[in-house]
Amino acid sequence: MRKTLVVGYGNTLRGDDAAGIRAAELIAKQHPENNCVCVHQLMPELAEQIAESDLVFFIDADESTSQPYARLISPSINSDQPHTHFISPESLLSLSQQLYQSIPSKVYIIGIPASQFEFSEELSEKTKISVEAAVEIVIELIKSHLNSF
Amino acid sequence: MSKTITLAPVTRIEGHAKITIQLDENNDVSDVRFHVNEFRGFEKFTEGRLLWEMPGITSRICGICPASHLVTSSKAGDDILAVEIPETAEKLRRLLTLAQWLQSHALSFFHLSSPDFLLGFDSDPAIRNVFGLIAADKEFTKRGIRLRKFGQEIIEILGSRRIHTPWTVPGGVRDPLEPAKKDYMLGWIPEAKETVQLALEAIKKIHKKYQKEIPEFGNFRSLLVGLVTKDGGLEYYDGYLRIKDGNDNTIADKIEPKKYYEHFGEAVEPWSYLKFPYYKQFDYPKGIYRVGPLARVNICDYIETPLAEAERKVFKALSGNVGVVNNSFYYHYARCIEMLFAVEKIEMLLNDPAILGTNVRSMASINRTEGVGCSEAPRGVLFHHYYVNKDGVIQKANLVIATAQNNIAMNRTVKQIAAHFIDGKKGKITEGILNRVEAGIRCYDPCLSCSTHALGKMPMAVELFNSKGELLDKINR
Repeated sequence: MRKTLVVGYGNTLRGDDAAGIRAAELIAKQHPENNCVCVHQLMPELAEQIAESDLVFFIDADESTSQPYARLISPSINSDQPHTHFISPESLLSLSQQLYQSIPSKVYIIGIPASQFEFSEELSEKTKISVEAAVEIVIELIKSHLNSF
Repeated sequence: MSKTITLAPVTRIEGHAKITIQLDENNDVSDVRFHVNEFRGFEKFTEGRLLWEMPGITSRICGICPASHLVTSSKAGDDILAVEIPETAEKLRRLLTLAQWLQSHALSFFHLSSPDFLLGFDSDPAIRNVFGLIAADKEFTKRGIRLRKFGQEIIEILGSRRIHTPWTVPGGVRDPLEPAKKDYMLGWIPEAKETVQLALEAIKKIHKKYQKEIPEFGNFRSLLVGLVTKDGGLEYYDGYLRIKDGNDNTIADKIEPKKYYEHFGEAVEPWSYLKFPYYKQFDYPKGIYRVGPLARVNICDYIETPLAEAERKVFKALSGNVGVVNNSFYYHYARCIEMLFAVEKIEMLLNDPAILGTNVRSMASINRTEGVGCSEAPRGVLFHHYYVNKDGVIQKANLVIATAQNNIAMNRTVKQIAAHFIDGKKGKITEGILNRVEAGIRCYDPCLSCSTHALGKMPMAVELFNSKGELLDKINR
């Protein structure tokens, strides 16, 4: 069984920061066959689930982009970011590799344009639209991954 | 020329913060400030929301200790409904609170502080993290992750979601516990107990290894505040507030948590968004007090579980004739003792037949317009104070968080460390010294998690200013 893991993360009380979570929730609703996890921030214990998956998506808000995007990543210990509370997706992959000797065959960061981080439970209009676009990107990537076997 | 050295953000704590170190004309450390840059606007944000929404909303403030806000908010709701919750509901809330302690303490000890201890304060910062730990002791690291996972799994099982679960509510909890889930949780106990014992062995070796550092790590007398049971035992969910001083004198006891505001005030400083709570009778800033593991293990007369009680006695022996362990470095030891207590107590609760009761919620409408909830979050005592109208709409909310209550103490701790380790005449601070200053803050395991975590939102720099405010140097860590 080829497992897909979707991790959406962010603070749902800080406006667009919730974009990743909203996208993961939509994927869970539309495609319940995928394992979707919503978290406030990435934590070391996710390493085990990642090690058990074949395809992984980390979905996050990104204020530096104007379009949703998918970027393939590989394990990397980000030495300039050594704080475990803010472990990066690349570092989390390294953790999976070093602790469980296993990493997924493909891992993507999905970035969603975000601009408003004030106290709010609402996404900005642009981010709302981008969340839907990001979901489509993820679904297409899952299909294409499954078709490649 | 006086200089200010800015270290921002402080790494391996939760949220955004920086430390500035002020040197005087003689290049000696004259002042140190721990700044918190994030504004906790959640109190304002909740105005106009319904009381019943509050547990769900406030638990989303924090990704590290959501269950503590959930439980405390629900307790404030109980007060407003004027209900006594069913026995099973209280036991389930207690279970949730202990699971929160366990996962939070495990993260703090194994992953945030152990890199300093096991790899050394002066080790290469590029490897002084969880990956360095794996290289040094893979099994220890893995066990730490699994211990945290155990706590997380309890939270997930009880609340069906790992974070931000709206499972506890004013009046009790939403759902009873299924027997199969109870058995699953009990299955974790032997491994969890073994892991905590390993942590305790490790911390004792650490005490021997860092005999030079420990005396300068926030070693001062202050008030200590926390909950105790009716007869003075360690408490985490209910009970009374007790205040002791650094000489083991009981300053106040049996304080109703609902009356916290009669005893504690909140000062503000223009250079930090974090409030500075203080004990009113001693005024600000003399009313400095510490909360959390160090305070709790110090002020209680006993711990009800046998293994943790034995460790508490070893801990208390560190105080010599004083009767109180005043050094903030021993927060880590107290944290390990509390992990042991949490595992033992979780086992006791799960073996209690009442945990499977099905009456878990008392229903009522608004009976009071003001309510206070209080519990011990991993970092210390937490208060939620709400005012509502007759329909249960929040008119005003005050959240007194544990991290803020340690604010004066954290500032004093970093000042002591900086003054001891920094030689201003050399005009340079080594990375190892900066790390010691940060490690002083990490003793308290502060949580400032109202921040955003979006990609590209985490700057990281050390800045050096002169007395005119001119930037002399800036380095990225």
